[in-house]
Amino acid sequence: MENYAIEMLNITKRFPGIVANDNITLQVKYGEIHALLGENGAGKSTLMSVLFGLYKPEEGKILLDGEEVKITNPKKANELGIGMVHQHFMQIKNFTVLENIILGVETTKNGVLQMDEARKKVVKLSEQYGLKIDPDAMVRDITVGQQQRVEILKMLYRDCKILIFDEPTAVLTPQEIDELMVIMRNLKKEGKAIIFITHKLDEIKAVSDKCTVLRLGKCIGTVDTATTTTHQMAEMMVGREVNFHVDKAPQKLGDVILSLRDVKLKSEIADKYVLNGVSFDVHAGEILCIAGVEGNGQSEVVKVISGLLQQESGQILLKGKDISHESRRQRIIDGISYVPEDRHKHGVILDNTLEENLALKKYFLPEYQKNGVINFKARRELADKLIDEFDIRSSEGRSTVTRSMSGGNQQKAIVAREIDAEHDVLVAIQPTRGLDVGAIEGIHANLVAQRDAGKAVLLVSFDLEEVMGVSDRIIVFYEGEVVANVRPEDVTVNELGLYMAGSKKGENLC
Amino acid sequence: MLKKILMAKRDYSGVLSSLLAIFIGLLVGFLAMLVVKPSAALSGLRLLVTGGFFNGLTTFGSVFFYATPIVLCGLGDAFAFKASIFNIGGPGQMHVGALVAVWVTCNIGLGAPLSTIIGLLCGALAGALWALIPALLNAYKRVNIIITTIMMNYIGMYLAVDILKKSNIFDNTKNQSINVPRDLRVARMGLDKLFVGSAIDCGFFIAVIIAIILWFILEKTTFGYEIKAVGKNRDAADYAGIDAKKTIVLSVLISGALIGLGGGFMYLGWAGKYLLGSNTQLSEGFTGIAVTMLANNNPIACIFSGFFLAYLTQSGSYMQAVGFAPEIVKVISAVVIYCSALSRLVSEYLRRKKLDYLGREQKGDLR
Repeated sequence: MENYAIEMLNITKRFPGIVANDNITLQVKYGEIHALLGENGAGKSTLMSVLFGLYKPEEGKILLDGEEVKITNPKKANELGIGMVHQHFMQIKNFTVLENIILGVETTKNGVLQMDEARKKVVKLSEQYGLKIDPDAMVRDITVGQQQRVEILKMLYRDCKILIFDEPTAVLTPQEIDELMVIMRNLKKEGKAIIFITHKLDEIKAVSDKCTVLRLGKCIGTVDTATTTTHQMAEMMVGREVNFHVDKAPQKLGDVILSLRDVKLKSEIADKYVLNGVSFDVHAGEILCIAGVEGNGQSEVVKVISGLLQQESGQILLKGKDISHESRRQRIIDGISYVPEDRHKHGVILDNTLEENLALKKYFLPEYQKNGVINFKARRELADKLIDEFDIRSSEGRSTVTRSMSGGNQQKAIVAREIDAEHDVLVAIQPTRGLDVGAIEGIHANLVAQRDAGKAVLLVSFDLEEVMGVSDRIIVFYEGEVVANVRPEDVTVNELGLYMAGSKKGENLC
Repeated sequence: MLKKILMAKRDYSGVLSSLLAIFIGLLVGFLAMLVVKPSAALSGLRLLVTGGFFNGLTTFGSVFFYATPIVLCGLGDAFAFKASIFNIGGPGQMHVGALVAVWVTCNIGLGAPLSTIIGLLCGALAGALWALIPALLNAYKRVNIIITTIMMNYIGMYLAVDILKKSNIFDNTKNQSINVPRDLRVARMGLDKLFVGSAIDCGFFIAVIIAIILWFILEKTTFGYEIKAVGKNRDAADYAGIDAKKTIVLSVLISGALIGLGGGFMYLGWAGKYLLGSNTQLSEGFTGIAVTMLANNNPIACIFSGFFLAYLTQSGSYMQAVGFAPEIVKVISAVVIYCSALSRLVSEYLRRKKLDYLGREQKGDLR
């Protein structure tokens, strides 16, 4: 008889039309990191919602320290010592770290805050677990990685014994991911039970002890990560063999489609250039990848190309035509398709239907409107065509409210819309962020198909594996400048790392 | 039962919540009457419900007249709300619109009905211009439009009163605007034969037509699609190449025009309403917000909610007959309006309930 910290036994949760969790069992011990792996829509979120008392399961029970508990709401879950580190942090930006941590559980004496006591506890916890953080820093001033530490400290401050990490690495840079792994190991050493939700197999392999795999609401199995390869886990997750390698036909390089010439952009906050004289060309039939650590000007260069930001000087040429001062709409018509970085902020209107979102780039074209009156028939046909072609899954087809769709399918919809629009160049920034293996494969295939169809593809990625796998040519951004221009077959990951860290500079930069 | 209604093909949650708000409003009103004068509470409630027919069709006909400006204000506010703009400049836009409409109608000298039509259009134009400054400041400089429209309310009121006093449409002895000549008032199209002695004119039906046009614009045109896109997610609208600034300015201009037009109808009608020479804000401009909230920003529903609130006001004016001070009427209508604002919360709750039934997972709710 083993002593489990938390056991979810034979959980079944049905929704009208689907069984979201079908007889799922999850058992986690103290001092164990237990990965929960599954594609978007496999039932991970539902299972965690059951654990948090947001959903009441039809069957099954939850045992905490061997005793059955009824978790009726998230507050109850917190009281029982179950805490969650969310993907999107719940923090007040202009409060300090300390204020954010104690928010909701403030110690008071006659109505007066006892900050000193709280500070002592926070400092002690951060030393104990190696969570380096300045308790007096404003949350708006600290990095995403540090904000995540604040979330972890919040849970520890509330004496949580069972911690759930919901895709914690999706928002982090490679260095921050390494630091998080260390923190997780510390937590494990101190006897916490950890449930780690992720798509990234390498991380599971690196840090977790056990891994439970879900697929389509069913539990496929629980394995020891030490003795299971990432390939086996991936197969369990998607139910077929996964192709980590991107198949590409030999390149047929065409003319230059998009060129940047000495583009400069001043930072909005600091007195420096975020783009400091950037020049490069993208040819037809090539995938040019911009690599680099996040925050070195990649987001800005993409916004400048698409027309969301106006550069200070320099030129942007599309097929030889200077589009530097054209409006965003004109650039769309000229043939720039763009998969944005933040799909919720820019990519879709969450409260609109899938159909309305799929038409976002085309609704003004003559086929879709006449004298300003929308041609609903054409719009429906467009939506159905894209849903079918790109396998966008949702509960109610084209009339699904986009907010209710999974992240992977929202992204598929954006990619579908951008590829469908008449274009010569496809710009994509982090198109696979937060997606599962199956969806990533699909998007990579889309990008390669665009290249093979003779389009120019500009891909920004912070994921070196993706950079090496997909690209025909790589340029590296460092501090708003291009510091390397190489082909993936001529370079190693380590070398790229040096370029990205700014400690090496290449030749033939343009 | 609830589940059945919510899961119906059409979305009834908005209607349900509005009806609930009205019910609560009337209930609280009744309780207030019970406290003030228990013996008359029941007859007070009866009067509240039937007061719109106090003098039969005469009273009921006048409800149409009083509904016209607040329906138009409601439509104006609803249109701006669709672009996520909170236009609470109703009183100012209405005041300016009313003054210009009356002045132009009385002075242009083209006879009926041309003078009136041009007067009303000029009133709409004035309302739009009064909304232009806050609209530009908001769209281009991101200045908080709630604050600017409130300030414009006061500027509009003082300016309108001052100009009125210096104009030839001011009656010094009564300290109010002059009687608009009968032939220059809004046409009645024989409706006064049906509703004898009431203030009814064709204004309400024009408001209905406008509501239908607005619904068409919002639901069926690319302009409506753009307004809603900007309202729901301005960043995504920018990304899609929609000119968000232009869209915001246009939607606020249309909003101001509708409210200005409402002012025109109110003072070119047959109810004997006059622009006053004292500094008073036109509260109908605020009632528009209640109208659109109760209607969940649906233009067609604005017709009904505006009519309902006008009916209530009309009933209220007879409450003194059963011994309630005039102020109790204000309490009751305030509670109904308050609850109509709350109906937003209720409909949001119902929407979530529906999502629950559909079993949709919303990751953001995992907390």
